[in-house]
Amino acid sequence: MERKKLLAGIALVVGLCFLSVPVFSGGGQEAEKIEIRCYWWGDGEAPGMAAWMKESTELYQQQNPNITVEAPEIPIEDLFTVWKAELAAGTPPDIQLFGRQQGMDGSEAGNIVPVDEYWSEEELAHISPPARRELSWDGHTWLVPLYGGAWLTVLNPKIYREVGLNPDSPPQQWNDFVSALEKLDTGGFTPFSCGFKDGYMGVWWACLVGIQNLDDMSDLHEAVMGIQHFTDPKHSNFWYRIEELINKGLFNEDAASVGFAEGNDKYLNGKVGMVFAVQSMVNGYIKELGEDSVSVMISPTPPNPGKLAGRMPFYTMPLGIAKLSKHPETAADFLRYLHSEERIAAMYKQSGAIQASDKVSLDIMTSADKLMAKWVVEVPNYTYNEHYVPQIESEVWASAQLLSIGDISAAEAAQRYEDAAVKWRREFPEALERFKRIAAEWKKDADKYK
Amino acid sequence: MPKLSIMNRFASNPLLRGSRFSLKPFTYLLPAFLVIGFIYFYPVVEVCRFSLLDFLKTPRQFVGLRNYRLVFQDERFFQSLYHNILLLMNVPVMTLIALVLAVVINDHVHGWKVYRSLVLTPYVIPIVAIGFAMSNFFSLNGGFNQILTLVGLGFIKKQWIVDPSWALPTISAVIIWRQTGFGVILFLARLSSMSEGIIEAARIDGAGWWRRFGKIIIPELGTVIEFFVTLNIIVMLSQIFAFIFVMTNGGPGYKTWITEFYIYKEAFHYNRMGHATVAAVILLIITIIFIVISYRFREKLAEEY
Repeated sequence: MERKKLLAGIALVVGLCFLSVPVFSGGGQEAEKIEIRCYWWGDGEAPGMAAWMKESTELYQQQNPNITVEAPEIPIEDLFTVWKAELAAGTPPDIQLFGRQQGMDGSEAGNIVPVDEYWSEEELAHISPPARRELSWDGHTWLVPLYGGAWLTVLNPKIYREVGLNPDSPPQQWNDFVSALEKLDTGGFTPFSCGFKDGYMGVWWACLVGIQNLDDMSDLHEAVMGIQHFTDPKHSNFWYRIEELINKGLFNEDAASVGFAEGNDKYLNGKVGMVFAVQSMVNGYIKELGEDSVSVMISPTPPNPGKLAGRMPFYTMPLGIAKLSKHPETAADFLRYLHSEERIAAMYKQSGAIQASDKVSLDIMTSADKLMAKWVVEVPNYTYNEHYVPQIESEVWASAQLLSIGDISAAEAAQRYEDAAVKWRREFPEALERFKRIAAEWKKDADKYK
Repeated sequence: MPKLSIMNRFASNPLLRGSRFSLKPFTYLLPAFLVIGFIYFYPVVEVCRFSLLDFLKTPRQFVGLRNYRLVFQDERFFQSLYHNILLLMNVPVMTLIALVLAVVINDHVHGWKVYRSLVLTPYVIPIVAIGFAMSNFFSLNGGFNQILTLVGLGFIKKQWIVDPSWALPTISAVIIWRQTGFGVILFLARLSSMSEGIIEAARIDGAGWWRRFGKIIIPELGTVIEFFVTLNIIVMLSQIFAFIFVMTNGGPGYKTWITEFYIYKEAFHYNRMGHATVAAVILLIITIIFIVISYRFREKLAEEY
C-alpha cells in the first residue's frame, strides 16, 4: 500500500512536470535565432551613415528579438576583397554593398540572388526608375539602393552677385556657362576648380557633361560594343569641352597638379565660383561656408545635346543578397526595413544622404537638398560610369591627366578612349558577350521602368 | 683560390664530414624550415597555381597558359616592366652618392654627426608620408618650384609630378633621396672597422683622395657594396609600389606604371587575378635572375680579393 502510494505520487509529479512545460514556455515553440551580416563601407562617403546604420540595426532587432544584425564597416579598398575571400570560404555576408559591375559579376557567377524574389513589384516600384533600371538585368532586379547621391554643379551665389551674375538663374547652356566662367575670371576669382592629377575628374566630366550628348545609355553600350565609336561627336564632345576650358584658362592654374579631392576642396576658400560635387560634398560646403555661399544646378548642357540633356545624374550604392545566405528572406526584410519612410527620413537627418525613392520627405531638407530631391524624382539621369567597364574607365583617367597637362589634344583623348574599347573587346570576348546580352535587355526594357 | 666543385664543397662541409652522415642538425632546423617554408614558399606555389586559372568563373577553371599569352600580348605590362628597368638606373647613382657621403662623413668633417643624422632621417620616415609630402613639394605651387624661383631659376618651373616626361625622374629622385641613407650607414659601419693604417700609409705615399677612394676604399667595401646593390635591385623591381601609389597613382597617363602597380590594377581594379599572378610570377623570375647574377659577381669578387 505504501509502495503504491509512493508510485502514484511519483507519477503525479512527473505528469505535472510535462504539463507545466507549455505553461511556462508561453504555450508555443521558441522562435528560431537568426543572425545576418551586412558588409558595407560605413561613413566612407556620407558622414553620419554609420550612426544611422547602428540605429537601424538596433531598432530592427527590437522589432525582431530573434534576429541579430551585424553591420561591420569595411574600408572601401577591402570591401570586394573581403567579399571574395569569404565567398571562397563559403561564408559570405548575407548582404553586401556592390557597384553595378560587381553586382553583375556576382550574378553571372551565381553568387547573389535577385531581390525581386523577396520584394514585391509594389515595393520595388518606389525605387527611382533610372536607379531601378540600372540595378536590373537578366529579367530581375538584383540590387536595391543603400542610399543615393546627386551629382551636380555647385556655384557660389555671393561670388556670382559680386561679378554681376544672377545665381537664381544659373547658366544651363554651355555658351552661357563659359561666359559666366569668363566673368568670374575677370572678377579675380577661380572660375571653376578641379583636380586632374588622379584622373577621376575625367570620369566626372563624362558623367556630368558627356552623358548629356547621349539619347540613352544604349549609346554608350554601343560604343563599348563597337557599333558606335568613342570618337563620334556624341561620345567625344566632353573631351573638347575640357580642352576649351583649359585653353581659355578657366580652371584653377594647378588643376593638373592636384588630385580630385584637393581640387574640390578649394571651394572652401571662398574664392571659387563653381565646382562639380556630389550631395555629401554640398552638405560639407554648407556646413563650412553657410547656405548663402552654396547653390546647386544641374550641370551645364554641352552643344548638340541628346535626350539625356538637362537631367541630374543620381548614383546609388546598392546592396545585394548572397546566394549562400542561410536567411535570404530575413536579409530582404532588413533591406525592406531600411527602405521604410521612417528610416529614409532618419537617413537624411543623420547623414544628409537622399534615398533613391519616392518616399523621401522634402519637408525636412535644406533648400539645396530640396532641389536635388526634386530633380531625383522629376529629372533623374543614369550613372554614366556604371555602363562601361573598368579597363575603359582607366583610359578616361589617363587621358584626362594627359589632356590637363597639355600632353594630348581632345581628339587624341577621344582616340585613346576608342582604342581602350577596341583592346577590351579583343581581350575579353566572354565579358563582351555578357555585355551584349545585358545591353540588348536594356534597350528592350526602355519603357519598362518609367 | 681554386674553385671547389659541388662534390668537394659537400665533402668539406663540417656537418657532413666523417664516415657518418648526421641528420641531427637538420631535425633541429626542421621546425624553422617548416615555418619559413609555409610563409615564403606556400604563397609562391599558390601564385604560380593561380596564374593557370580563370578567376571570373566559379569554380575557378584551369586555363593552362592562356593568362600568360594574354599578358605577353598586353603592351601595358611591357611598359610597366620597362619603367622598372629605368628605375634600375637609380642603383649606381645612389650607390655612388652613398659611398662618397660615407667616406666624407667617416673623415669626421666638422659637423659629421649632424650630417649622418640628416642623411639617415629620410630612410626612417614611412614611404607614405614621404610620398604625400613630395607630391606637394613637386606640384606647381610646391616648395621645389618656389626654391627655383628664389634662386633665379623660375624659368624651368614645371608641374614635375604630372609632366609625362618628368614624373618618373621625379619619383627616381625621391627614391634616391630616401634609399641613399641606408647605404651610408652600411658603408660607414664597414669603414669604421677598416684599419686606418692602410689609408694612412697610402696618404703618406702620396695617394690623393680619389686614388685612395678608388684603389683602397672601394675594394675594401666590395662585399658591402654588392649587398647594397643587390638589395636595391630587388627594391627597384618589387618594392616601389608605395611611392607610385601615393605620388602619382600610375599617372600621368600610364607614365609611372611599374610592374607592381600593374599587378595591383589587374587584381583589384580589373578583377583579373589570373593576369596579376602571371605578372607576379614573371617579376619573381626576373628578380631571381638578377640575384643569381649578383651572387656570381660576389663569388668572383671574393676570388679576386
